[in-house]
Amino acid sequence: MTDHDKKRPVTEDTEEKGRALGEEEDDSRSTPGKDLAASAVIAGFALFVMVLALRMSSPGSVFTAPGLLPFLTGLSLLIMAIGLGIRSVGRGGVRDLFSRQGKEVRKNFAETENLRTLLLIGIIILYVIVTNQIAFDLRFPTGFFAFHFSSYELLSIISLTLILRIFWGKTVLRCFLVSVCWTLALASIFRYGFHILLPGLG
Amino acid sequence: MIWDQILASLSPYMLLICLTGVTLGILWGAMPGLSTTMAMVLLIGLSAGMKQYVALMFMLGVYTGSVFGGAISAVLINIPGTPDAVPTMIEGHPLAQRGEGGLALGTAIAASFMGNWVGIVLLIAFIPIVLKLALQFRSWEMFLLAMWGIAISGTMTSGELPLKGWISGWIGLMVAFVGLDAIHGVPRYTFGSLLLEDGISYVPILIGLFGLTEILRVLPQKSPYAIPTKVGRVVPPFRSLVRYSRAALRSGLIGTLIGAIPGAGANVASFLSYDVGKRRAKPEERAKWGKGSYEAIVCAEVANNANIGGSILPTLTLGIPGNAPAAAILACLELKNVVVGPAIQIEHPDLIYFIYFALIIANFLMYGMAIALVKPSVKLFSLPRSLLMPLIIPLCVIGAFAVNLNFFDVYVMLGAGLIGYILDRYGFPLAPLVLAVILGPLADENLRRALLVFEGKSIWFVLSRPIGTALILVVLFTFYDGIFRRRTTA
Repeated sequence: MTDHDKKRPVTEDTEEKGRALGEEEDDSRSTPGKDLAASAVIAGFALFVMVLALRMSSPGSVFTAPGLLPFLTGLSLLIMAIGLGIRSVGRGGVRDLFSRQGKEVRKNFAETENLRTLLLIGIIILYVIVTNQIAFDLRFPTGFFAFHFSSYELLSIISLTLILRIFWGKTVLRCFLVSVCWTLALASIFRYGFHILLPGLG
Repeated sequence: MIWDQILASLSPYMLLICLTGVTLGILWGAMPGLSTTMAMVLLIGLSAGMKQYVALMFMLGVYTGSVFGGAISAVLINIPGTPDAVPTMIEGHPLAQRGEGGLALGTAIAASFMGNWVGIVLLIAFIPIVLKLALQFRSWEMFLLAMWGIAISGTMTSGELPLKGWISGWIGLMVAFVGLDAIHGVPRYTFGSLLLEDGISYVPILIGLFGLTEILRVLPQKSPYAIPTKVGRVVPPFRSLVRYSRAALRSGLIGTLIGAIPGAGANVASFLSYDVGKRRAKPEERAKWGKGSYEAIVCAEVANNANIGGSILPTLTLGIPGNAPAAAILACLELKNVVVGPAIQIEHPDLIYFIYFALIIANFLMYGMAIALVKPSVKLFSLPRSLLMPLIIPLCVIGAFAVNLNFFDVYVMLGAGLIGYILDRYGFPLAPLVLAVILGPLADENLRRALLVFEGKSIWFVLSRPIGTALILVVLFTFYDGIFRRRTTA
């Protein structure tokens, strides 16, 4: 741990106030149990990658083999995962994983914040999938340009209204109006301002 | 050539673009939870529709503005707008509570202005030196440099456990290997999908990791905050800055140096500078740290702004982004078919001069706009995150789609966002992953070329290359430092 890390104020106070810590997060939220679970998944992934690298065809010598660096990377990732696993076992990871972690997982799912996160993930996945499936582009000619209204705008307005209603908590009408204004402004900047096509047929 | 670039960057249109970028950046940075990186990556899609210099001017404006913007909410509402503003929050908010918020923000503005200057001057001074050195690099050295970039990024971003940063970087390398191999055209990890044969673009990954992941993390939280009513007069106190000039210069050097280290962002710079500043402060000044010290604000703000110039240095000279916002600038340049790296001065000599002047102009505009925008920013704080964050979701979708006009990239963005969220919850930093996706192809191709050159040669032949050997030692030291030194100090 470097000196500046030592001074980094990862206190309960900044954990709450300083959520923007973001980009280069520390590992203060991990537990030995979590680390052990992560190391097992990463080790499995590394093995999978190594097997696939070995099965890649190699037209030239071993030095130019397409699977060379992937294999070496997989091998070193496996070593790192084992290292993380050993460290977490030494810190009570097994006990943590099968007792506290189990309770924590159940508690996590029961927490409102986690339920809200799952709900948000579900809506975003649905939004993306449906945006790729439905494609239309309506054009309304005006005096000097053709106003477009595509599936992207429609689906964005619906999804945004739903998300705003859940997380912002204002009336449906207010959420809908914000969604319409924002989506149309955004689409206009990209479509008319920078001539960039939008997803769907937009 | 230089005058052409001065005139180009001083045209009214360019000034307007820069002003827009700086204004957006300050307002964005001031909003709690909206980071500089998020602003930059979301703008990549928009920059696809702009001309090269216009896009660059806009993005550099946003970069300069948003790094300062974080200080506004840090001082006034005790929530850092950007991660690097945490030290400013610790020192600035107690001052604001004593009714000195305006002076604290004025100090932050002046320090940011000074920090940008240090970064720009050092960028201009060191580009020729680094370029001269970079031209000596062959395949072996480029491979080692790429691997060192990923390793040091892992070390710098993962707090007390560098192993997690390295794992994150190595996962990024795996993502970079997907697609047709550049030497033989053999498909790797494509599972028969034609869409994967072109490889995975790092732009949607950037948007997913720094846009969608942030939304998933911040939006479900309930964290109301008090909105300040009084700010006071915002006066940048240049006179008192003279008092802290030594601290400012030292912080500028720290910020620029940290910026030049791949993956180490402005928050590392501001924390390190804050820590060093505290150790070097006079006893009577040190007693004020943590309770509202102007010198501490100077240390933090000079460092995080000097970081901008520092991060541009390896991006332009080596093609290795100094941090995540610099990776967004790299993406913006790649969209314009500009290949950065050791040959940039030969292939795009005008570009470097343009970037110098764009940064200088952005700095002047940041200074003016920062003073003008402090009070309007306070009104922005009344907008809840639960309103602002959802609005970014459609922007993430357009941003990912606009780069290649391919919906597959939107799925990549979605996948990256979800994986980023899981990695974040398990304490893995995200910056090394992005850096590895960018540097993976460079490392792969150069290693294999180097191995062909080394085929049949002895180990002494490999070690006879001084730069390569020095880089091997640096890479080994990075791992040693991460494993042993941190373990002993933990």
